[in-house]
Amino acid sequence: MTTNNAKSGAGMRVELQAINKRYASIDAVKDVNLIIEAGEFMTFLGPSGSGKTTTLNLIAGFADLNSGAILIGGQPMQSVPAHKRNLGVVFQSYALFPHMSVWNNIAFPLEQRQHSKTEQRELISQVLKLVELNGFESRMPSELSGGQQQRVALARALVFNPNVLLLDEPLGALDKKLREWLQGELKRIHSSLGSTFIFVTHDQEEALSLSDRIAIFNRGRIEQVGTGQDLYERPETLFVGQFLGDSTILRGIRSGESSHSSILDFGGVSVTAPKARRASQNILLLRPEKISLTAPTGAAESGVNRIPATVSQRTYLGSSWRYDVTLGDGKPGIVRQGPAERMFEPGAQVDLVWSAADGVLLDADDSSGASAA
Amino acid sequence: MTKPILYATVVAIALWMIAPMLVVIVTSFTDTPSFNFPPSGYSLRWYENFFANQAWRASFINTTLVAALVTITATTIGTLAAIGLHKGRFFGKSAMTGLMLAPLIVPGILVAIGLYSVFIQLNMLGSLPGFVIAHTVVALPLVIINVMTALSTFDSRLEQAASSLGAGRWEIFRRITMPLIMPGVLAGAVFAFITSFDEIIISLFIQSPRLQTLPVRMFQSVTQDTDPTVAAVAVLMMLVSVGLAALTRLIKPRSGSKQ
Repeated sequence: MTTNNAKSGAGMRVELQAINKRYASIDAVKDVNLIIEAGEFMTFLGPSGSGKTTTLNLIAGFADLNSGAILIGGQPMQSVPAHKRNLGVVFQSYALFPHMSVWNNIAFPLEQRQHSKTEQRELISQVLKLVELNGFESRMPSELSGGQQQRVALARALVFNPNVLLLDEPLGALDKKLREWLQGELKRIHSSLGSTFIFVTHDQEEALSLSDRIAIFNRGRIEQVGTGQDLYERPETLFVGQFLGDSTILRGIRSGESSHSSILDFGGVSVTAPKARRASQNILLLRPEKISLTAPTGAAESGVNRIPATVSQRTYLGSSWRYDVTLGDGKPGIVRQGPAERMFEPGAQVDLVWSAADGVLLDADDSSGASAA
Repeated sequence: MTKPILYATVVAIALWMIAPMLVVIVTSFTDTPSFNFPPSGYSLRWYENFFANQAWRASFINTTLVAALVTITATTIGTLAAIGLHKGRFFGKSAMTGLMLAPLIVPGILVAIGLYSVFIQLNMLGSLPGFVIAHTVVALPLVIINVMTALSTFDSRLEQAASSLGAGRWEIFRRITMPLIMPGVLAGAVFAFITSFDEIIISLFIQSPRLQTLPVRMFQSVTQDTDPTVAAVAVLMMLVSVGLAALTRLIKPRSGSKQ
């Protein structure tokens, strides 16, 4: 694929400028601003109905904006119909043309672009090699498995060297093993082509393993954009913190400030958190691997927090143990311990211990109740 | 109910339904100029008579011509109407659908009288355009229903996919939509042909000695004399209808391995 087909690597930058889309009285997409860099693998992650697929449809030109602007390669798309945008789209339902063979499906975009038969043959055999489906040219879509159909759909969307590839939950209908294998394939194809990929999913592991950056959607808005590590370690909203990965949430009352930290009162226990940026931040989010369990000692050290809890369940995860604990206020917490750590039985009184710098201080989030993951 | 009783009931009902056909088929081979059943002897003379008689032949050609033209007009208009009704988002859509399917429910005699009173003023009684227009009215709903059924199972994401791949509206229609709803269109076309081919109520009103279709001529023949040629014609018409209906069975399961 790296040979004479010199047009590859033509990924384009996509800009969403304050885009809005209403269906009836529902704001499907609300003031979304985002820049996707040329060649980037960007994932739209969010629960269903969060506006990620609508945003993708707006980029593809399948629906019209109510307001705002979409720029692809710097060109405004407002008056450009879907078939002139030169985007590849891969659908969850594959959307292969059932009355055409694999070859004719893949030739379709080339015919629309008036490529000669010789060019078609060359491009199709290249792309079939890329998706590893040589020898399937004359099959009908109904004669292929789900994974093969999705690879044909991918080949069809890539064969004309689109500036941007849009993928709408393309692996959603496949079983886990196939999905993981195709994730690897997608990653490999993305790096070999250099075009811009925009990928929609509700599966956080898929998002983390594939993406350069992830945009987290919730209720028609983007909550946060960043690398997987950014989002996991430094969530800016409670929604992001809870949607991506496991967490323990401490709802406290701000009781003091120092130059580098804020003090929260949590059911009579003082807890030190990183310095708050806003007065309204009174929720502390902790990742399970940042907490360790110890027997209750009560000995205080500076820079280390310690709160009492009761072990409610212990689960073996192979490389680690997962402890579900109950905090003083009855709320749940999650702790992950390495196999070498001391073990506790369900019912045991323990202390959760973490370094003050490892907590993330957040605002109470009005949308968290609807979508806790 | 036990199995033998069920079986007997089914056979009885089936016989009841096809008995008239059997009578006509047997009668068409009679050797006497009467409708006696069962016939005293058998011959092919009434089939010979049909093919030898100039007037019978003329009305057979007229009927076939009318039905062929109706197939073209009804299939074209009906397919476009069905697509419009399926995709369109406009005020009064369900009323429009109901109106277009109305000829299925409205008594034929009502349509017949309406057309008669208009055609008489336009001097279109017994004219080829008159017959084509009249039969198209009753054939249209059958095309619309068949095409709409085909469209209801058509995945509109295929059209989105085609447009993302660079196809404009016409290309999408020509390469994607049309081939995939083709079985429905062809079934509608066959129904349109058959409907026109054996239409009698409206035809009786709008006919004139200038142009008579086969069913009209058969009706007049039966009311005027006892000529078993009618039975022979009826059998021939039945063969045409059944043959075409069988054709739609062949069309349906096509998986579509084109090109």
